[in-house]
Amino acid sequence: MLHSDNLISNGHRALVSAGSKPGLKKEWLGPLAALVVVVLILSVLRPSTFLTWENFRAITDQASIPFILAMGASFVILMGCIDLSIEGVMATAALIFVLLSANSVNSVDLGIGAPLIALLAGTLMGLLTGVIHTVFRVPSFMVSLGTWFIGLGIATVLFGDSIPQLSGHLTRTWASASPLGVSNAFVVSVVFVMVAKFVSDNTLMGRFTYAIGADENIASLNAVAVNRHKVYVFALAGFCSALAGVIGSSRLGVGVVDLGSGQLFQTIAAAVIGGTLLSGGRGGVINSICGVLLVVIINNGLILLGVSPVFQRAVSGLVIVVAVVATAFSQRSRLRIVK
Amino acid sequence: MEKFGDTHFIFAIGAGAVTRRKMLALAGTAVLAMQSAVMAGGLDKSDIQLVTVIQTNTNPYMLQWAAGSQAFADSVGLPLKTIVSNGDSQQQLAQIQATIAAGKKVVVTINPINSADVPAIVKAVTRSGGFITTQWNKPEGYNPWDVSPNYVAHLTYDGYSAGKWTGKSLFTAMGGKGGIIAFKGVLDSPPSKQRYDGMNEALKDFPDVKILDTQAAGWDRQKAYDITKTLLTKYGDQIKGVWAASDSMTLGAYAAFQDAGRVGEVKFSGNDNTEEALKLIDSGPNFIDTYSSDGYYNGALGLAMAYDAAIGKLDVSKLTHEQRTGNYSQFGVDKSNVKQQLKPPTGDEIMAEVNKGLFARFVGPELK
Repeated sequence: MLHSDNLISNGHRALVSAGSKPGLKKEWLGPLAALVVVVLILSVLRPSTFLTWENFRAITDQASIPFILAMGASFVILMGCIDLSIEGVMATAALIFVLLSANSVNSVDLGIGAPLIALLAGTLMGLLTGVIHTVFRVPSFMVSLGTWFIGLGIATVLFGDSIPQLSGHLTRTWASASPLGVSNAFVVSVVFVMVAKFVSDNTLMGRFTYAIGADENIASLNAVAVNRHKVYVFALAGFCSALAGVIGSSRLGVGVVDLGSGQLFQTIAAAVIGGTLLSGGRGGVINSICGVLLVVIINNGLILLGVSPVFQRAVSGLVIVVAVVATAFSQRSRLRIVK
Repeated sequence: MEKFGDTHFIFAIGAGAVTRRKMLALAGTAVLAMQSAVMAGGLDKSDIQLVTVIQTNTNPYMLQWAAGSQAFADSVGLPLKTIVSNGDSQQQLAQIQATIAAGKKVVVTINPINSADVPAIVKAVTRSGGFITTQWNKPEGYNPWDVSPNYVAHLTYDGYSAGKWTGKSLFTAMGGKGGIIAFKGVLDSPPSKQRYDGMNEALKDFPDVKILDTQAAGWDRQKAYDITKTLLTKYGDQIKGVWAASDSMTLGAYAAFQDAGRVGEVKFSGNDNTEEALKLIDSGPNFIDTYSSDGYYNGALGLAMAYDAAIGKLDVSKLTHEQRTGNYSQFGVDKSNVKQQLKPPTGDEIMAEVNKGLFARFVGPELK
């Protein structure tokens, strides 16, 4: 049997196992268990504040932007790539959205066109990252680092010399309004999560993502259009970052360049805490959701417990380490190398 | 000018039992000091490049600073180079070095990103015969008089009085009773700590006002917004006031109260004199106050001081240690004076303030 035949048959197996559900099902049980334990502990310690409808709304509000960002990031990380451009794309989208809506700096008001153009810009930035990454074969780490700063640069130029404030009632209140009980931002993020879950489990795009992450060469030998697929995924990530930028601006009512500050680390951390491997191929949508919720609920809980801000960061780090060690233990196959 | 070198020598000889190595080192310092002393003072105006260094150009305070520096540059008729560090210490130093390399003597005022950046920058500027003032950040124990007469002064601003003033006017507006939530910036940042301590000092006169919770939101609007959502569930109606060490954090909290439809029941207090805060102070009854660090003045004064030393108008050797690490006064803004703050000052207005004297707003030594 020829070597390449061997590779191909291996590849088929990789594709089959990547796409099949039973192999993946258990991976999110660990992070989910950690989440449940944290929720139970907080419910016991602070039943009168943690278990309230208002606190549920606070948590959903805080989780909505990280959810959206985590969806984009998960697909990229599942391919074994990384997207560092989150904060830059968020900034560009935020400024475009605010400056094209009714605002305090200029007299432009494109209505629904403003968020659409902002989303388009973010998607194009992601597309550009993907194209440069695949066509010129530059590691995604470097390209997206560049896109990050290009994004911040564009936003800085757009910013001018004073903070543009949204003046339209709809743009200012839409994201935080809650006709359905929870904020619109959260509703959008949940719809996004469901679509992402569907795509990753039931479509070729989802299977290809896992296959590329498991082994790019094998995927490519199996006639997966690796490059084209990567470009799609980066464009999707750009779209997610832009959406997060638009929602963030609507909530705060302003377009600021540092809107996304701190989001990159939080997003990647949430994906990894949820059990998505940075090397690609393992993990998924539910993992990332668990990771995001774990981070958000721990931060919420530490404030409710009255932990001093001096210790909060250390305590939340400790809780995360304990949670990951205790619950993701089963995932760590003895033969797998951990880096 | 030579006097400076001599004093070092006399000190070296008078030091008594010095080892040869120490002696050599001291002599070396004296030679270096003489070299820079030769270049000190009396520079010709045409040899000077004015430089102002700000951290970002997306922060209202920094933009005011740059406008202030420009007003000074216009008043002396010299071009100004504005360097934006963009949060990157290396970029900050590299751009300053590139400007020095262009040949002219630089006259710099800088708002450094980190305290730790200061020695390398001061060294680069003073060695080339330039003059520099630093503002806000410098390492503790690193003092201008130990370094060079070309390191003219370090200027700081009194966060303690700021916090005391904003706290007092907030508590008064609350009718002297009720709970507040407080936001610090970055925990180890001196302005944040001073402002918070000042607010606590003001609290002593209001026994019925209670701090329900203090959180650190890293000067970040989004973070303050998220934290406020949680605090709202924890304390609910008990919250009658929000105090923060910066407008950005107060505005984040304000947005969260807006979402909850509760802005009307709560009073807000900020700091930094941002346009948004000013507009809210002007338009509504709930945003009570902010505090001006007067970026326009800072940007102009820092440059004026370094420039006067460069052309020999200011004799640095005659300044006291306190003056060279001085603390400068600022002012609070509330409904009574918000209208005049809403209109940016003209260059002439900025310079009229600076021309009252380099030490007109000096209040004392640096706060620890």
